[in-house]
Amino acid sequence: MNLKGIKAGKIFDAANMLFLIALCITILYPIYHMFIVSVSDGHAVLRGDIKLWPVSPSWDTYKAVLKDPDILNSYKNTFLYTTTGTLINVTLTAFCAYPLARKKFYGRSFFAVLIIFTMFFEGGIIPEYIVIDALGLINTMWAIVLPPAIHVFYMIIMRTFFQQIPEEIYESAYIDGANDLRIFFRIILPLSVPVIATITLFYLVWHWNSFFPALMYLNEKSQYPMQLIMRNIVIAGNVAAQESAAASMNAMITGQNIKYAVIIVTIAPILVVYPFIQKYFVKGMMVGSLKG
Amino acid sequence: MLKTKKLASGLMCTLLASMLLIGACSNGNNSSPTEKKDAEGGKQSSQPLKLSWMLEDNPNQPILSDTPVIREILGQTNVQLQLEAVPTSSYEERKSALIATNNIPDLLTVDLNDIQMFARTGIFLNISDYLDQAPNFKKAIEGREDYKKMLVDGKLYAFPTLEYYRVAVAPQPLMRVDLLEELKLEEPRTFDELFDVLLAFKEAYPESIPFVGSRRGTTYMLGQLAYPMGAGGFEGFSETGMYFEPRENKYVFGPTSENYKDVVAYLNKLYSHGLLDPDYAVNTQEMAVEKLSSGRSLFTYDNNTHAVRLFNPAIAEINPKAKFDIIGPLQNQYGETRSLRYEQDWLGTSTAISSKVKDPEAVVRFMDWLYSEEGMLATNFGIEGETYEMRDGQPYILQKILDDHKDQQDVFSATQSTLGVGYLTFAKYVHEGTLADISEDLLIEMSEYIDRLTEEGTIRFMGIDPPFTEEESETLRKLEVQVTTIFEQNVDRFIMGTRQMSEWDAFRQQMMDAGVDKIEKIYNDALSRL
Repeated sequence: MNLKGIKAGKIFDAANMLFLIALCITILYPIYHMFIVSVSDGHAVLRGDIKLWPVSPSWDTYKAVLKDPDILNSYKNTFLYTTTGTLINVTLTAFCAYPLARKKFYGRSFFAVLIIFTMFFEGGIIPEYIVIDALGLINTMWAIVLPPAIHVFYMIIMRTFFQQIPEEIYESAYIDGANDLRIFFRIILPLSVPVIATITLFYLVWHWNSFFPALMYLNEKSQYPMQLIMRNIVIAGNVAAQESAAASMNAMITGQNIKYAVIIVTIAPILVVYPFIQKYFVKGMMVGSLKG
Repeated sequence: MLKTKKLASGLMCTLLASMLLIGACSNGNNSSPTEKKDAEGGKQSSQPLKLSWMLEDNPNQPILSDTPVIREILGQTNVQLQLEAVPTSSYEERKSALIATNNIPDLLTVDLNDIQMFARTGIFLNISDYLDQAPNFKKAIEGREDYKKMLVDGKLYAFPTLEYYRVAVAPQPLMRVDLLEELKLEEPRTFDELFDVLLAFKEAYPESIPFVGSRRGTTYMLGQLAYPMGAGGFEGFSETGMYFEPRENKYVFGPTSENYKDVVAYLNKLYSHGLLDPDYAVNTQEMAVEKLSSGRSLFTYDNNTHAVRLFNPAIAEINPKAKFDIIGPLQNQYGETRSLRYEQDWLGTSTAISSKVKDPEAVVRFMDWLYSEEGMLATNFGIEGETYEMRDGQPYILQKILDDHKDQQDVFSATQSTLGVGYLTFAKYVHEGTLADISEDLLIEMSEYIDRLTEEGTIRFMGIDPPFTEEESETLRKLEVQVTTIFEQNVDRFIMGTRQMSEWDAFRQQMMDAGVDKIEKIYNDALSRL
């Protein structure tokens, strides 16, 4: 009986393992494929020879991509927009979520409804353009980082987190003579590292991937972020270059290997950052407070 | 006490947030680059005319902001161009937003649709009023009747891009000519002979799929084959079945025309013999190129440049003898030999002027200069002596500049990008001499062949649709969707043989009932108004 149970368990484990390995492969292979195509010879790629191993691999595509002044410059811009934007995002989101989480905040539900309203209703791109134009933000970095300063959904996540911090903590802090600001900075923030890290990552990825505001509100190519340049290289080769019919007929089609190299260059930094922040997702909520 | 405290803490937060915002905003204003530039420009004494120009930035030829040609233009015309290069992939979105908010830059690249839709709103300058300032342009459009299709109420609202000299490109039958030799076959001269040759290929190489069919779905394949086979519709990259039939001298809806049945029957014959790729309807560009350049497919009907630039170099690495070349011209069963090439000029890449510019005459004069001999040379070759030289009256890019780019995958585009010249920047009068200069001999031979057939009348330029009124456009949109949907849903079944050709007449009637007559009438009325 017991032996049988062990055997069944082993079979289950093996099946489970096989299933998970298969799942991992389906997730990892596309990324791996992109990588081997990006280092392979262009003609071999055209012929569709790349299956499991790169063909006559070299770093030439990466050299070409990293030599491109547009790409380098846009990389710098993306970095700037992402760090500035995320800083503004996280600060304002926390400032907004904190009072809304406090029961004693005057008119709490009124403000909450006002803010949540914007989640479901918005003016659309044209009024937004007019507003940003009227504020004089067109063709500046602020048109990219300010309008999305607070993402309501992330704000709600943060508020919910703040709300779960027991009221007793506030009480004891008040008794010790702390005011609301002090409580926020000295107690709530340190307790909220997991949620702040999570939200930071969300914002970080959002800014990193964002191209639409840049497309709409920036005029000069020298200010474009990475994604806009990459999108053009990857998509235009497929669709637009063909649509504008006779136009690009004589221009070469951007090679698949170049496209993939650009994609990898674009996603690499986020791939590197992710594991470091990811641990906070797993971490429990109330790390080391109010035990017992 | 407690209540005030609550209020105070709430206020603090709001204040902090708004302080951050205000700080950021005012910062933004200070560092706005356009304002800075304006201020600097104002101090200069020579006062060049500043023009902002929004155009498409094609990744094949990235637009740089400081190029020889911009300096040359400043020197020759005292115009300082500020290029707003918007990625091709998102150009439409950006353009629509700017037009909708009435915020367009001084110069804007537009297509025919924009001109028809927005010219009457007054957002674009009416150029016809200033044509006396544009002698070069008037000379350039002489004899190019198609430009009349750009007019709105008889007025010109945008400067079209015209062709000065061009390496000809056309969809042509491209075949592995080395296999013809190997199998001792005659080059086919008719579509029936083409069938026999493909059949012989299949017998000799049972693993192969002789005809790849299409790289953009069924209608693209039909568009390539229908006109040469005596019918028409969906030519080039057009999404509609309407085409100009020179035999009848009017617009006709291809799929319901008399000869169309034979086109579909021919494809059905290819399909049933295993000569047409079973995946023809779903092939993407990558898949089609892969099949042709790996030797699995042996024939396609597509742009001749693809053979030279894509298939031949890739297949040469695994089979040095392999070579794709144009065959034909192929005669159809009515004894006609005819095919199409892309439009002569780029009316769909036109430049509109904002009606808000301060000095419209000066702007029109500048645009006109782009069509002059000096303007054409500057926007296609750069600066004489510095980037190009004249030999035997022909401009040539200096060898040392070409050498700088010789490691690039695409020498032509890379050179054009560095100099900031050519169609993909802002040349309005396009001279592709550089391309001819550096291209493979095969491409030049093909180009001369296409030009020769054009002169003989065998190859005709694809036309563009005549301009419609708003009401007509709306009716057309509705009817064309109806008819095209019926067509697209069924034509594959005929080609694949799941519907018998004997049912074609009933199918044709079904399309007729959906409003083909009305569509044809609208097109021909619009044509007669020109």
